[in-house]
Amino acid sequence: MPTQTARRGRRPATDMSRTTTGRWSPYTVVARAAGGRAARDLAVTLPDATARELRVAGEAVRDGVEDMPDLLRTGFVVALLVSLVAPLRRLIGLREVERFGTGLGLAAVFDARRRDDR
Amino acid sequence: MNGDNYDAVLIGSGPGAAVTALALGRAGLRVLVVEEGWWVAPGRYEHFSLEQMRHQYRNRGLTVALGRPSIAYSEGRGVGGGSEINSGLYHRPSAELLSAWSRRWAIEELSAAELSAHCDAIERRLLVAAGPDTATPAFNALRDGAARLGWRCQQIDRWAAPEWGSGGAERRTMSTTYWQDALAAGVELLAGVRASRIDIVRGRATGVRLVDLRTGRTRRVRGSHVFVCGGAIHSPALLQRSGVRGAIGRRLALHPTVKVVAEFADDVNPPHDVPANQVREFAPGFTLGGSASTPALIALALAENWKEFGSAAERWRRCFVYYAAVQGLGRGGIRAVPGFTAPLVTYRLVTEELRLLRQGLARLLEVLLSGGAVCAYPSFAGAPKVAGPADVPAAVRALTRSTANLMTVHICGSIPLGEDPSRCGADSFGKIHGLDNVYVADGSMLPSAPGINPQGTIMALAARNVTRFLAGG
Repeated sequence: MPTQTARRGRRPATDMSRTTTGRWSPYTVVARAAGGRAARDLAVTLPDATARELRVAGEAVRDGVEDMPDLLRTGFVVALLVSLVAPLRRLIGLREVERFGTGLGLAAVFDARRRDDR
Repeated sequence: MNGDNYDAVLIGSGPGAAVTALALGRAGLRVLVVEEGWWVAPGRYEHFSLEQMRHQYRNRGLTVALGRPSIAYSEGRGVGGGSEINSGLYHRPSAELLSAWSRRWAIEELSAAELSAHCDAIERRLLVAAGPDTATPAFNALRDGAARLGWRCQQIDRWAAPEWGSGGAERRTMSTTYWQDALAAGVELLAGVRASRIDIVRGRATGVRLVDLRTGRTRRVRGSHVFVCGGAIHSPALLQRSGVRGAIGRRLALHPTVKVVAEFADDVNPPHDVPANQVREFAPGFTLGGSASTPALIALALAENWKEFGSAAERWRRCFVYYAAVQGLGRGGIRAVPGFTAPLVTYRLVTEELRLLRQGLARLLEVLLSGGAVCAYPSFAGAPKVAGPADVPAAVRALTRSTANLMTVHICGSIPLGEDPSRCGADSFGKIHGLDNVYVADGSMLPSAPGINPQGTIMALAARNVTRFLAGG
């Protein structure tokens, strides 16, 4: 194990590298699908959103899925798959997936607008 | 001395760990602290921003206790833990609370008098004091509304310099106080390192297995004593993964919270601060207060009814998020699941809590309307817009198990202190029942949801326990 983060009498390194970036997994595919879907849904929910804002929202949802606790993420994937099957759309999956995507997507858009304002 | 041998290994770096590490370091022990997150300079990320959530919250804050309804919770992740991201509101634990815990949970030597010196020291180090009376309408809405209704509203002390609210750089977090002192005392701190398991042989911890999150490399360190300080979710999960049985993770205590976005006639919103005013007229049943209100968080609070409420997000400067937090009465649990890093977290909301949430929602709407809000948007599915007192009953009726959108930022009680091993995970001073040299020093050890912001209580208990440990108790 490298020792670059160990310091005696000094604060540790501030490396912010993420452990998930750049790695492929089935979850990254699902995360991208969830992000794309959230962006499409948001275009209806928030008609004045710009293309850039929708992209930011989609990325936030994608990253959100990737960073979820792994146990919840598994449940999310099941819910997402359920929601894609038309006869099951009104069952458990759709509402939770939509709530997650809409909430996080809206938050990302307004966070971006706030940053643009400053 | 072997480089991997320590007198004490601490897992986690939140407020309980910081107090413990400093005391151990100053006593001359060789101390290693491992923290899964990173060291983030105060002010690097805008307070309450999504960027901060990405870097300083566990799983970006996308964590939930499953139940009906499920309850979203958030935890800090990084050196300093929750102290780096919270609102900086300080409560000294009351004599009544400590006495009730001592009596109901058979906790020895727990009283306001026993904790007094520890609280004094913590308050001095964190510069705990009443903040400036900022006269911001969003803050004063609670105070003015309560005054008109004849309710008790209290300004809560904070650990912050007068510059609080200017971006967070002046906050007294663990990384700016206790960890600076601990490192100066020789404590070693590894950031970006996860403890995957504690090796336990015949009731005694022999070492801790670590994983470097950047490289994936593993390592084992030996510690004469191990302190679990990973928070109320991950401390019990780690102990369970390490094969510890008993009253570990069988309970979970929290403050279920319902939120409301209030809109005012004028600009009221300082997005980086929360009101220090809390309406405590109905405590311990429930408390009313203000919450982080960045545009993103306002949009999130309105998302449940976006079609009806969404336009208010464009007027975010006139809006602020408030909450009613009830004293938790339900019961939850944490269960490590093989093959997953995250444990299964559940919480069963009891009927009495739902009743208190409805009462809290009603009182919150009343005080906001009395305090100058022109309307309010309850944050749960199907809620009606509240434009006057006549609308309050309909909003209360709309809050059900099916519609509720609850959250909490205070989680505790998963390894409660107490002398009865059948109910308590640790003894009166934090030593895990059944183990010789493993201790808990975080929110897990609080026996129940305290009805107040818990950081001050966690720190005081940790200081008390480590003092006892060093005295050979």
